[in-house]
Amino acid sequence: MAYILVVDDDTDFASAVETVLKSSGYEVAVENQTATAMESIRKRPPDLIVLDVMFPENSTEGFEFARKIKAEKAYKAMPILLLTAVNEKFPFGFNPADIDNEWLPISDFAEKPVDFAVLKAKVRTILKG
Amino acid sequence: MVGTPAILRTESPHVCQCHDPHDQLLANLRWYCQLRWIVVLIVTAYALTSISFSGCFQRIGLVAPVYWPLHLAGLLVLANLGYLAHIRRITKPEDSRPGRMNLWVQIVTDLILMSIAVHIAGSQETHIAFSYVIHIALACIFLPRQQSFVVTMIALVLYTAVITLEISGILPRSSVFITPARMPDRVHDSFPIQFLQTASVSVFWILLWFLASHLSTLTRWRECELERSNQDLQALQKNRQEHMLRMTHELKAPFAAIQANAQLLLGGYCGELSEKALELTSRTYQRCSKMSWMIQEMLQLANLETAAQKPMPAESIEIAECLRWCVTHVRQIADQRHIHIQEEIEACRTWGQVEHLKVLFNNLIVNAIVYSHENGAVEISCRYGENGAPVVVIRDHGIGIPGDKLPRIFEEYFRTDEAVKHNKDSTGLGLAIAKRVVETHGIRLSVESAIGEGTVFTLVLPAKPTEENNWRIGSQQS
Repeated sequence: MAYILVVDDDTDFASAVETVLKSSGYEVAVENQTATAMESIRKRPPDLIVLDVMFPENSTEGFEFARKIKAEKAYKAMPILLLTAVNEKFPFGFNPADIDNEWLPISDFAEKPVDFAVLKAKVRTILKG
Repeated sequence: MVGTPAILRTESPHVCQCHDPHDQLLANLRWYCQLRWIVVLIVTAYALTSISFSGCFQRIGLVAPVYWPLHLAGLLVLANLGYLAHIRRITKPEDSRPGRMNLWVQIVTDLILMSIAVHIAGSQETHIAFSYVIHIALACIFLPRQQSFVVTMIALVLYTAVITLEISGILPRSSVFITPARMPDRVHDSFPIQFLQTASVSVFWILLWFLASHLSTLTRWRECELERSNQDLQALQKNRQEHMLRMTHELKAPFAAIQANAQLLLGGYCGELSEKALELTSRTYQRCSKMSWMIQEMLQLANLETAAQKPMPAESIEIAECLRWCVTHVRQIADQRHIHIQEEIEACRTWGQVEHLKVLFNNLIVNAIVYSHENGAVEISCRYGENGAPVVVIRDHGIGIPGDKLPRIFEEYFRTDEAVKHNKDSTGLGLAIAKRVVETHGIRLSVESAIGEGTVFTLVLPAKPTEENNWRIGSQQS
């Protein structure tokens, strides 16, 4: 079964996502910081990364982390599902470079609060593809 | 603007270096050259006319044909080509000396040629001397006060020199008139009279310099202030956006976590719950959803207000696609209330932001469904109106809106008593959001309603981008 890495500073939310994905049979690990997440990826590359956008140190950390991952040849094709509390349809404070389709190196968005049925469907679709 | 930042600062403590001085200087130099081309045209036209119609000229008392304007035009052309060639070679932004030298050469050369023209045309017989005023005014606009004063003095010296040389006989008197005309109050060429005449012109020019340079300094100061205020506003806007972004996260993230945990409990991920526990968890989940939705709408409104301040590229939009997307989006709510949605949607195009239009249509359609009676119908139509603008009509046959409350329905958080009774869960922001989109898109929106009979929203959308709706045409324009 696929191995999914959840990267989110909100421990409650990350734990809930972990529970839901594990119940679907996936192997799940959680990291609360992008720095430790990068080490985890290098140790064991996941099949999918579920990544939050905003972290305490940087409001666009998720975007930058996604680009950092994709910049490495070994992880160029790694799918990323971005979770954000900011409405994707009304980018607010993000630069065009963050949400322009040419720049955005992610597979899909999911907006918080996320419906778990929707989340599971998106994960299934991304892993199939 | 000519001058280094140090010179500008000494003029006034409030003066600031607002524009890139190098770019501004080059722009001024090129503009002077363009003005000179116009003068060349005028002077050449005068010469050619005097040559072609010398008989007419002589009949009206003008000397013709005259060739000195052609010589003058030739000198101006050569000078202009030289200036432009020099401007093209100015490449170092950090060294403004070549640019300033070019400007001063232009000014002094123009004044000398101007003085020659004044002498030939008739310094005393014509009013051509007042054309020095143009040079003084231009100097006041483009140079700091001290430098514009120097230009004024140069003009005065040259004009006085011409007069003096003519009176002393060193320079022969000249005129464009065959019989030189005299001003009514000039009786003879005595030195005192000439001195008085020249002095009065000098006083006039100095007063002009004083006034124009002061106005110019004030204008430059105001411009700098405005630019600084604009920069402050932009910084404030950026801070506000960052703050709103952080606030969005701080508001929504906790609800996201609460809802996530509630879903775990309701979904049975933590084992079976008692009926009471399920009911309480379900209510917790619903309250969280409502709070999340309210935050969402508040942020949508804030987003739209921000968007209105910073126009975004307009794109051509197929309205039918937007409406059909909305209908799909609201199908679940409509089915729950057994509301039938009738569509008469023709292909029509408008200009704007597709996501904003989706929010607008979605809010109006949801309202129509929510405030309909069960088993009712909502009608959505879209077609081109008589003037070629697309018209969207959203009609319900529900509770309606009292006439006296109609003017207030677009206020934030306003809800009629009937609406509150019918649907407790609404936030009161849906129509405020719709109004915002309407305003930013230049859409004409009208509402008709009657209690117990329903409500009709009619939207006339723009067929193309206009200045009024402040859109920039984006790269998608066909």
